[in-house]
Amino acid sequence: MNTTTLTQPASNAAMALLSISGVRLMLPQREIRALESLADVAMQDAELPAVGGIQHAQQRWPVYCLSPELTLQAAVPAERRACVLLETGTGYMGILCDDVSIARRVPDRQHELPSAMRVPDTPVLGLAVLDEQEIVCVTSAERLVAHLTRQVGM
Amino acid sequence: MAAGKPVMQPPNAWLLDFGQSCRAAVGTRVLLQIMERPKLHAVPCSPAYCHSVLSWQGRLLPVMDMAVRLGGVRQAPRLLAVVGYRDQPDEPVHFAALLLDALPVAISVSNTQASPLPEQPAGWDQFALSCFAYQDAAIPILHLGRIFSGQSDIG
Repeated sequence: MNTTTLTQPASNAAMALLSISGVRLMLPQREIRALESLADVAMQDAELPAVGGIQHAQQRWPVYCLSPELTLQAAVPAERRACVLLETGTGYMGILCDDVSIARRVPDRQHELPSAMRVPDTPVLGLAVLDEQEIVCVTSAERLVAHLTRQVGM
Repeated sequence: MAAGKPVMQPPNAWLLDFGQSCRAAVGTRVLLQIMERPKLHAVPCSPAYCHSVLSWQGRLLPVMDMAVRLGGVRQAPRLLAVVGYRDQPDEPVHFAALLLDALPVAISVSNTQASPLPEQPAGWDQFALSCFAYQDAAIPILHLGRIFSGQSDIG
């Protein structure tokens, strides 16, 4: 099927919005384990492709920087100011973001990703319209972590 | 009407130019709207040939770059055609969008113009319903259902 299908979101849970160079990702807020400032990320001694590390639960976890295409990049743009920590199943990983906020109003409809835009293992589960104008990509921590894990080669 | 004078057929197709020498046609009823420099929203991790959506009448339409779909390079066309099509006559209408390099041209096509698909760019056999000859060129008729289904062997 290649027309937009509207579906109800899984729940009315608060949704977090991650901004990465103009791309907006929306995922359940409860799936974010911690939100830190860039100042809390240790950029030295990073093990590539990580750009830094962050302390959480008495351990240091890798922090990654993503392009607008959600591919790993080594250069950290100046606009990255925050770091969200996601659970990986065996630990945590951080993703640098320009901004992290909570959606003022959870979209009551989600649009299925059109068939022609789907690729295997995409972290984008669907699309949603915020405040009748902004289009965001619906994802989940699990999908993002899987997407990053494949790129990192873990 | 004077005997022997050619009868002008009303236009029954739109000739679409996707750029990079890539042209095709759709029926007149398929093309719903032409938009100039519409606001498109990029979707990460989607194919280069269908990388953005258009917000249109409460729907999010996939935007297809047919030139890229057929192996060309990405471009920045200023025009976009909104199309509506059915996979089967009794099925609901699907809506989608095609990037264009020029305004569509209304043309008349008849069965006598049937032609083989163009050899270049390769891959038209996956995306065309049929083909006709027009001004010394082979013009495929788009199979929109297949184009927007995401099912093909081409990249």
